Amino acid sequence: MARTPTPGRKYIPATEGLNQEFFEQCSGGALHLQRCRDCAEFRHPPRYYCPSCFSDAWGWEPATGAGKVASWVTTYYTVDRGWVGDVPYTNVIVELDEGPRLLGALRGMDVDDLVLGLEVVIVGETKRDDFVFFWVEPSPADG
Amino acid sequence: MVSSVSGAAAIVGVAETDYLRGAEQTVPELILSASMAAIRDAGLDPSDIDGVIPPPGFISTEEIAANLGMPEVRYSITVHMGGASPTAALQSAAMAISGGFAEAVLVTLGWNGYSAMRPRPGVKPSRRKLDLGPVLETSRNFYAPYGMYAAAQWYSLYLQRYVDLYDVQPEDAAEIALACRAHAHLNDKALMKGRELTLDDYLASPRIAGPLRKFDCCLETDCAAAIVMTSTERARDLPNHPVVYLGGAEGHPYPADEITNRPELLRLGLDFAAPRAFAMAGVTPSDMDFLQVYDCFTYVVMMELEALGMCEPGGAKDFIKDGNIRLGGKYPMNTHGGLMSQGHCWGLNHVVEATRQLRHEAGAAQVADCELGVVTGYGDLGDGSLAVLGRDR
Repeated sequence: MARTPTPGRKYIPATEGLNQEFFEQCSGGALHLQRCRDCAEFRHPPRYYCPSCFSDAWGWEPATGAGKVASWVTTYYTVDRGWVGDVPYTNVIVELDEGPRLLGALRGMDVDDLVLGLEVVIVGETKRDDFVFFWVEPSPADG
Repeated sequence: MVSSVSGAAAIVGVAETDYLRGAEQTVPELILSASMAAIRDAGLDPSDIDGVIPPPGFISTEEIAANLGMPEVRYSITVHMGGASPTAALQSAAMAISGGFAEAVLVTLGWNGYSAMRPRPGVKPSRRKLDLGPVLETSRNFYAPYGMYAAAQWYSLYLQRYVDLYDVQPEDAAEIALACRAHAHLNDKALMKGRELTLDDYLASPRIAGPLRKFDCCLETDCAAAIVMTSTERARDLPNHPVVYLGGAEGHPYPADEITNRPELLRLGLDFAAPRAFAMAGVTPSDMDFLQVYDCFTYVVMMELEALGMCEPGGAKDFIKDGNIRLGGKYPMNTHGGLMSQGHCWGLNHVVEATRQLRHEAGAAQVADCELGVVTGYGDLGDGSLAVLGRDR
């Protein structure tokens, strides 16, 4: 545990392909998800064919961002320079009301208050035109 | 369906380098020295090798062949399953041999897991890197931006669920680390030989991510290992007692490249693979005389034991109790010390140890009269592989 690196900048990926399209859709402020034009299922992460009906017809649709806590992980130790100053930090898997699950960083609530099924909301922060960072916050309905 | 591969090929040569924290050799040097030693152990020359399965990254078949002197390589493939790669490679080697595509196949892996995975003072960066291809796109877009770029964090996405669902306590998981350490004390090559680890040490170790403490995690190691496989028929004319490939399989969780959207968070590659491998070998899990289980993290081992069918889901915490997985117990596990206490060679060291056990050359760690054993591999975002090996009659 001796070598803790000095803090640095947080990693922002150079996105491409379908993932870049996803982030570009979300960069306007509202979460968007990929949806099959044939069977109407939402999916994430973006895929070229629908895993349910194998269709290649799809589009982007706005999502509410509302969902429920499906799992979470707290990191106590990292050598990631962008995050050494943030430990312990918690990331949450949110099961969105549309179906897919999304990982985001916990903000605005205590990790001890997390329970499976808790209603939360995904809030996007546009870091660059082609990348949006997702926060997981308490549902406004609870506030 | 009866497999034409089962029993057709055998491991005839094994070797490993020292397990080091800071090797003086480059990764290619480590890989080449282990490969040459494994070929010599088999009683062969490099020119007898016509199949090569190198690791995902670090070195190519072409470089291995040119450096060691293999004038006619007829078969080459690389498995991209992270730590599940070497054990999965055994099935490709066995298929190539039984199908007539190659006569003698080298499987090798080496890396600078200590020196290169995070910045170390005085270590010159190398252009030779691990190929994380299968998980790179999802991890760089959806995990790494959240400060989640290490396996301990990725796996915690399901390990946290596992410990919550089955009420697994740190005191339960500790036995995996302690058993590996106890076995490492018997192994001259083990990095942790002679370094005591107690339950108190384990419980006092700092938390890393999710349920994982420092001593739930394996070692960062610079090392290489290699094995040589040929037909069982030919193996009987070579110096070592043949260790026969009876069955094997690989499996992938779905989707394999992304954890959070899996319909079944706790169903990993080995759950798919294990029943196929035992059926192919015509044996059952309870027939095993020892287990060499890929021990990147203690809780992963527990999930693997359940996937193997050694016990019911959630039953691993009881299965490992009372010395059951220690030498002298019913299912001695990781008799070399494992990734936890010998060193991290992506489980190819588990294959080497299984081979030594079945040759009855495992020294102080020998499982008396053993005839059957299983090796598992685990890697990327939960890929799994296994091989059921047996002592030739």
